[in-house]
Amino acid sequence: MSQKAKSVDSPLLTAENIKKHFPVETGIISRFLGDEEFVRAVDGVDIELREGETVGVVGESGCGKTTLGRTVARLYEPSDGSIHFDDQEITDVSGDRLKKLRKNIQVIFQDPMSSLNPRKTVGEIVAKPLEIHDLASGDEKRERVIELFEEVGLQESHLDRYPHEFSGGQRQRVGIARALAVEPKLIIADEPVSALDVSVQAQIINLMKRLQAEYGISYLFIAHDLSVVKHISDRVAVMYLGKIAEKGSTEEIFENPQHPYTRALMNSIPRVDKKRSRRDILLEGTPPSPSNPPEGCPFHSRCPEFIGDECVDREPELEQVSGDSGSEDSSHVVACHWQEKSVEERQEQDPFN
Amino acid sequence: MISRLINTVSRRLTGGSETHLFGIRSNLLERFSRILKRDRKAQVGLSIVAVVSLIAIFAPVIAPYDPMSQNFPVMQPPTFTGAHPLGTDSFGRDLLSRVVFGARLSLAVGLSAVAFGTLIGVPMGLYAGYYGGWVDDLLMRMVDTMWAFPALLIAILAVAIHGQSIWVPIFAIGFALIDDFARITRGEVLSIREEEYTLAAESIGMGKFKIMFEEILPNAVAPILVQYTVSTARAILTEATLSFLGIGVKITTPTWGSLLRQGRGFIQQAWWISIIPGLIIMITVLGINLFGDALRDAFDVKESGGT
Repeated sequence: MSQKAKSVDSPLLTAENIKKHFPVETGIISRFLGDEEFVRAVDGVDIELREGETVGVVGESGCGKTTLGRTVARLYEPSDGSIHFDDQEITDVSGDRLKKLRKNIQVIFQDPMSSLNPRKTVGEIVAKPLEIHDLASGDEKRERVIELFEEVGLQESHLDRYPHEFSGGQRQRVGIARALAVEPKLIIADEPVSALDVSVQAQIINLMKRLQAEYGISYLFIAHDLSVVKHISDRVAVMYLGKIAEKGSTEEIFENPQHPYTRALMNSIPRVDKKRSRRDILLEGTPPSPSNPPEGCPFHSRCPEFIGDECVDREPELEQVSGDSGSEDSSHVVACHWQEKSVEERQEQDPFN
Repeated sequence: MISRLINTVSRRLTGGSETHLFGIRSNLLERFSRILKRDRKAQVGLSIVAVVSLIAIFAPVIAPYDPMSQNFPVMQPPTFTGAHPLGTDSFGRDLLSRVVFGARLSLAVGLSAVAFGTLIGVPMGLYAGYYGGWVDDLLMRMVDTMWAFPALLIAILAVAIHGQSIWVPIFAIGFALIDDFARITRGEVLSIREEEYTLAAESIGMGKFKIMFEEILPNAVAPILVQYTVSTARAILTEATLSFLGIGVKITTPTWGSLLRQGRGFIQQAWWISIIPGLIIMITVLGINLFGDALRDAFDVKESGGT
């Protein structure tokens, strides 16, 4: 969003090879025999974020995007990989340093009903981070909370009400005010609008954009809705089964999608004026289980542009999209075997190109 | 009548607006009074609980005689009027006075036993549910072990060590209730732990201890409170059992259970010595259970408040 931020070289957040595996509850005997099963929610993801930048993470539900966000926010312990934030290694900080980190990374949650404690007034909820980090107390605290309320479009009179007295959009504003209270550098927004009405979605997105311009916050914006991501993101990462399928600037991803999965997601956005092409195949079925992912390319079982044995035998690496595909963005990477094919072969595959 | 009283009390306590009362949204009282208005069972339950509690509190005022004095004719049948409305027992003690004082002890034992179980069981369930992993395994296996010991066995053990006193049934019954409270709390915590507000609390830097007692426990209070009432009824029954078997309070102490026991030998000559305390136990336990049901209904709509 802001021009100044993009010129800063060293990224605010660098996460390398992040893995988060959840053990599946098994009996004590199979655990003893080493028969433990894991759900590979996030399986080796690299992501970086510069100051003031918004990176969108998209994918179907169950692809691990929420887990990625929570791992980066250190709400989950990463199983592997390293996270750097603001020139510091934060992969396994704990105690006071973790608390300090919490002041810089905040989370906005998906479900505005469940993310606010029903037994506390919204005033108490927003004041809590100020207390925890000793930022304000007494009258000063109250004033700060009122200020935050006004900043997110709520009123002072709302202060002593309970979450259930608000609409979904208002509740999400409370959640944003809570995240904003400590003036964080990074906000992980985990599907912040997917539980809201479309008209309210736009309001919240605009609010988030305004706050970003005002405070220079970076967003890791997680969503399953591409059109929402398009509006707010500078760069986009597409996730499938715990891995990144394609990554690049928002423009590149939307104008020149390379991965069949990305294209399928694009097609899932309803449009009125569109001639259909052979590539307009909508995805069917659900993603395979992340506890037992397919061999080779994780997407091969549903891929509409399946090549053959190589997709089953070998997992494609993330590689820079070659100039042949019309890409001008050096950061545009994709994990697909089609990238190894010549231009002719690819054109043959898509007669409408 | 009662519901209007509760309404007034709740408004007095909270100054008319919604605030916290022990971490519970206080409109609970209003909701409870609404349930009272239309639910006959709740009315009966609350009335019984109120009457028994009042009798227990004002026992010295209500009881016509000293429950220990043996100055009256032996085994007089109940007349429901006159000097000894419920008759006298085999030692010539006034049965009404003994039942009234018995309410005091039986309720005290019941409530304290449940308090004992709650104070230990709830924190155990809270820790087990929130920390999970080996803490959960350790605590819950302890609870499983406790589950294997009936209150009766523990009472016999306690009597053997400590001799007969009022503390024996409190400890024995309370100990047997720990596992119930631990399990219920743990189950509740397991679901609340997955709520996003717990994660949100973590993300703003709250410590685990604070999260447990500030975010999780207030949301788990409802089922614990319902369990508390139901367990009180059970505790009163168990106390009666223990006293009947002679391993509860001292034989002279007038609890409802010990009254039952004293009448056992004379059931053919003087049925009232056993039957009357028995009936009173039954009515009280029924009343508390009905009250617990109404409380559960009041809590049931916990999230549906305004929307």
